[in-house]
Amino acid sequence: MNTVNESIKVEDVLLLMDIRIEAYDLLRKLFLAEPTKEMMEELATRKVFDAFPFKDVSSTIHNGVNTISSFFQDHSPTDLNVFESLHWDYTRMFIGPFQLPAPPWGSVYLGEEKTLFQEETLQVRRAYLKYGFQSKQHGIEADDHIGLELDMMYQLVKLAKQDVLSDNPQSFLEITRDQLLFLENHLLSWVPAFSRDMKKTANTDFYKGVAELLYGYLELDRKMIDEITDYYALNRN
Amino acid sequence: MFNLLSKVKEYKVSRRTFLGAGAAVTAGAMLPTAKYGLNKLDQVQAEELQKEEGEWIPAACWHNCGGRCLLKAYVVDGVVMRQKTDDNRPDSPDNPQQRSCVRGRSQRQQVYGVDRLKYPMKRKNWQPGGGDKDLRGNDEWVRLSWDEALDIVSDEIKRIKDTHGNRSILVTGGDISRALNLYGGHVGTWGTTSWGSWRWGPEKFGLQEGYFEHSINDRMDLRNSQLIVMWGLNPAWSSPGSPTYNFLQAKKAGARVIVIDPMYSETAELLGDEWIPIHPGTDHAMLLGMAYTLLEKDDPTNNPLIDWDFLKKCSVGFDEEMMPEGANKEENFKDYVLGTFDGTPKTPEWASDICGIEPDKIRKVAIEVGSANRAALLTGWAPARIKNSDSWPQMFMTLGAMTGHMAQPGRMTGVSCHFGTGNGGPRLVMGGGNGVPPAAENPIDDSLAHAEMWDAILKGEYTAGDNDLRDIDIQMIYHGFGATLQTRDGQSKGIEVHRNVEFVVSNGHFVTTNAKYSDVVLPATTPWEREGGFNVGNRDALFYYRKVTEPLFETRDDAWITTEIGKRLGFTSEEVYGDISDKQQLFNQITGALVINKDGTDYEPLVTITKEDIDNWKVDGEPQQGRITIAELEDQGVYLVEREPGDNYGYIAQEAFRKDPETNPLGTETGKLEIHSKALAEFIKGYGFTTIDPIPTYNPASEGYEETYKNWDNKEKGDYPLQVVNPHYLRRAHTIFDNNPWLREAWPNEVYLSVKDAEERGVKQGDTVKIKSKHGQTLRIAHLTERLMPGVVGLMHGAWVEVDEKSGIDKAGSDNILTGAICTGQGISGWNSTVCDFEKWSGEPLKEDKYWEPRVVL
Repeated sequence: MNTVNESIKVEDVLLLMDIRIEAYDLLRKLFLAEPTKEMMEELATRKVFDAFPFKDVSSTIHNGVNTISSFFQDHSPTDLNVFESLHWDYTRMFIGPFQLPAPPWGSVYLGEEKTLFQEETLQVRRAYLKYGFQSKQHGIEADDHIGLELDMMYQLVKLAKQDVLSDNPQSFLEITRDQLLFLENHLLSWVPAFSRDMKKTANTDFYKGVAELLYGYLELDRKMIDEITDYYALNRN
Repeated sequence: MFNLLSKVKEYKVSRRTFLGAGAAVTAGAMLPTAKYGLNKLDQVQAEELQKEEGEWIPAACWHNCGGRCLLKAYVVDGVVMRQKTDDNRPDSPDNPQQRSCVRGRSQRQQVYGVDRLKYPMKRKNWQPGGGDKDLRGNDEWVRLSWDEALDIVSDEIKRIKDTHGNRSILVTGGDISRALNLYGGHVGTWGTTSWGSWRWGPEKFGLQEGYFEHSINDRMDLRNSQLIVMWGLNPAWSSPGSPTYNFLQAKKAGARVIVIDPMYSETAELLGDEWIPIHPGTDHAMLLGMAYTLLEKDDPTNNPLIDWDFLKKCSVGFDEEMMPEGANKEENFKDYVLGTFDGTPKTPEWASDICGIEPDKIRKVAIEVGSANRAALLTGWAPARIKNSDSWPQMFMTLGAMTGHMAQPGRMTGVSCHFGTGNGGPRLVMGGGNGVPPAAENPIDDSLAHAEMWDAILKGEYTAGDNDLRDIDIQMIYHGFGATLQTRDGQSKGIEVHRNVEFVVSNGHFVTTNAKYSDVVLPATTPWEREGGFNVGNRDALFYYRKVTEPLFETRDDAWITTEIGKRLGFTSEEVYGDISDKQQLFNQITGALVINKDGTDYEPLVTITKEDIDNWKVDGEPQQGRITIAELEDQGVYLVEREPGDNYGYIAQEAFRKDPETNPLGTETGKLEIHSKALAEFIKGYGFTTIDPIPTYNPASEGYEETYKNWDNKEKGDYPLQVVNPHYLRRAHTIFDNNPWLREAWPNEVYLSVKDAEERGVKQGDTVKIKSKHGQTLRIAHLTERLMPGVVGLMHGAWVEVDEKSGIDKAGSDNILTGAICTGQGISGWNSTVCDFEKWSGEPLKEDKYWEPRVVL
């Protein structure tokens, strides 16, 4: 065990934190608001998804990323029709006006009532408040929106990285445990179903891929939290 | 154990590409995290918010269901954790709790529905002038900011006014008129809606006016009736709250109840001692058969069935001796019934041929009504939602007048429906006005009859009155609220209209049928997201509701939408809406609330207002003394006037008139009940559709029972051998709640078919059937029942149309896909007179509604 510890350095942990921050930043922005043409063009030309890590350890991430990459190979978002098909896909699934085939809120999947602003909403709101966060659209948008929950993970990982840099292991472990709780109690309790709905009903391969990537990444991130926690605990002993 | 951490080293090469991915998303683009996402609060603020506790808040149940009840929501920080209903007081027959029905209890599924309309949106292929108009109902949608949406709507209003004039703008409802009336006005719509032929006729022939007042006594007096005839009314479904319970008290007090209805309804099951099934729209014929029996069997000495004293004292037109001045004596009712001049005695046999009830049964009911000491003759509006039924209300009154069951304790003849079900009389408690000045007058006087309008718009010509056809060129439709495209006659033509005009806009809570066929949809708040207010239903109670949550998503109040459009048309908010704050409006309603005084002679203020209240509310007002405090009102959410038998709040309709008709004449030309009413006949003629006689002669309905035959004389059935009626169904309040998941599960919206008709067509329970009329086709899952009279199809009112664009067939069971735009009499929307047939559907079977748009849920 020690040998393994010795071969892994704090820089590696920091790099992992950076990757997690980037992954959550990407995911939250894919869901928080409608896609813009510029954003889709950047994603395609910079081949952001080609570079997405952990393809080789998660077949779900692998499938998701490949689906997106091959979509961009065949469809350039600089083509207005392509962009509009992506935009309509987002609108149709997450905004409306019709019945949403993949409603992006936890309470729809967790409550018996398939409605918004339910107990889950309050619980998530309180989890945000524990770290002093509140939705910029408080009371307007339900707090258990996928984009907000991903933003919460993004914020928590950023805080944890600060603890690594400032060498505050107690706080680091607490925040990391809260990441785990947030993932297990909230995101991972409904994203499997959400991702299935999204993959099934998306018109474009882009969003089918995003559905897989989202689920695959959250599963993997849960494992990463375990490793980081263990490593950090062992390393400090 | 550190697989992933070890892996990280491998990514060092590619990390440059991936790190910065999030930045790539926002590079050169609008930053989604600027407006969306999480904010950091300061520590004190965050801690305070975590401590927030819940509260029970009286919440609105505001729908047009015919009832009114109390809802309370347990709200924590804008989230409703659970709901309950009236538990303010013990339940008793005299003072029942105002408890809610399945719909009220599903209310939070509506307000917080996943499918709420959340943002302003436009149809993707919309362009000024309409763009590809055929795509309305099928297009993709694009989210808009409020500014973009309001600019589009006002620019189109300006453009269409400039190009086609104000007479090309149709408003179907809502307060957008406040803005448009200032801007040159708009075309409106009118119709008999739920009331049918009770809408305008009653006061012409001597009953109460018909819209608010229904000529029946109050619920306490109902217990004095020995016989209650419930003619085409089903309060168990169409008047939720306590009306059915009130009827139960009358039954417990000893009343015998006869229910006359094509369907053995829940009301018949609970209250009925006898159920008499009748062909829809033939009620008038049955009454004539009863009148014949009364005339035949009446013996003033040994077997008095007719109240001749009452007829002579209080009515005109019954026989040649009682004719009003100037009328042809031969044109009296008695001779019409006996067939003296037309050669057709309206015998029970004659009636039976039409209404389907055995002649002896007709005789029996007639004698029972005629010989009862105290009878309540009650009818709903359903038998009046029949084309050509303008004489039906007068006929119903005539039975009351002949038997004298009017205007005395336990005796009444009139309508029992909606808020006034089994409980007539003026309100005992009411809210005040909100202080908003009235809208400017509409300079345009064109208004289209609901039953004609879709046809009229397609033809470019509408009926404005007798011999008065006018051109019309509608190019814009504003649906400010309501469900016009869903609820008006001849929906297929309505959809065609929506695809012809240049611009359609709807305010709404969901993509209702109106919104579906619109270019722009504007998301409106529900009363749960507004400041508060009063709701009323039965006369005993006043309901108060408070704001449950801030407006969800980007929904806005209709008043705000109207004001913003008004501003873009060049008017100030004060000009449009009077600029009175929401809080002040609510306060005005509270201070203006009135309750009946102890003597039952006048009204006094309901709510006590202190100087402190005025300061707390930050409003203008004066202290006053009332019965309850604002705090009590805000807590309880209802004020109920305490009732007991013999109290000062009872009501006997038209009592003073009966006691002394000379001193207290009615508002008719003769001051009496008019069995011969020149005024009614002229009034109906004035509409320019069809005419009636001054006495209530029988007019077969357009698309009524007679039209199910190709040849009436030899009884050869035609292509549409069945009649379809539209019962009000507990899944919905009209169209509202049709999308509600709980209610979809509880009330599957099957089509009711009689076992006999289904067997003849090889249809089994659960089969998908296609129901077709002259005007359209719809699919539903079959529910076979012995509760429905053979020959009648029960297609429940209000389902949201779902037309398959390839076949043109509706899949949702929309009632108005089957109805035609056919206007008769006073512009009756005669939904219950439609002929149809059905067959087993050979295509893909329907899934139950609850499985529509299925979602995988953990």
